[in-house]
Amino acid sequence: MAIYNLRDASVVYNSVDISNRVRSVTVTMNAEDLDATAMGATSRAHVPGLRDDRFELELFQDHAAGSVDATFSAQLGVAAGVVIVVKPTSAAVSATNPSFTATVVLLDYSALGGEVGNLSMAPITLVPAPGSSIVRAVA
Amino acid sequence: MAKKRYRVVGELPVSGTQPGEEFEADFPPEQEEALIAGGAIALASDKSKEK
Repeated sequence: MAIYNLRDASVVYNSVDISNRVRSVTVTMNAEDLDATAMGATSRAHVPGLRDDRFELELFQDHAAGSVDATFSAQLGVAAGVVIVVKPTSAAVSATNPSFTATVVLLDYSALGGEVGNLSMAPITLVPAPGSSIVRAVA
Repeated sequence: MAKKRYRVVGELPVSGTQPGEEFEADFPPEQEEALIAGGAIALASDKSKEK
């Protein structure tokens, strides 16, 4: 896979394939930036700290059975979390179609939102359960 | 954990199975409960939850 047009991303949350309700998806793998700069330094010393990953989704809200609202509202505040798997395309996982997987908890969920005349959207941020982080896999 | 047979009764695919179709899985109890409560799946023998 070379550069690509993101139009077939796969998002599976708690085994439910919500891909066709996703407008945008962002997978952020981040480590905190610890400043270890000491006297005498001529440039900042950056030390990677704790991982602080997240998945950010913008979903088309759907209140039908088994769809967006039913799937996510049931997980709000559940400490154990559930598994999410995101891939660039719906094809099988491979070296050019890696999966990004984590057990995530839902801390903030907008069940209803939007302006008159617009589609109802549900922005969602998912963070890894305590002690875990996003894992990239190619097989 | 024994596998059970489920039918996808919601509008979105579950475990790679399209709505209206059946599949077998060994979901942990909490996941099974959430999926059934959310209307995503029903036990294949539970006709009352099917569309």
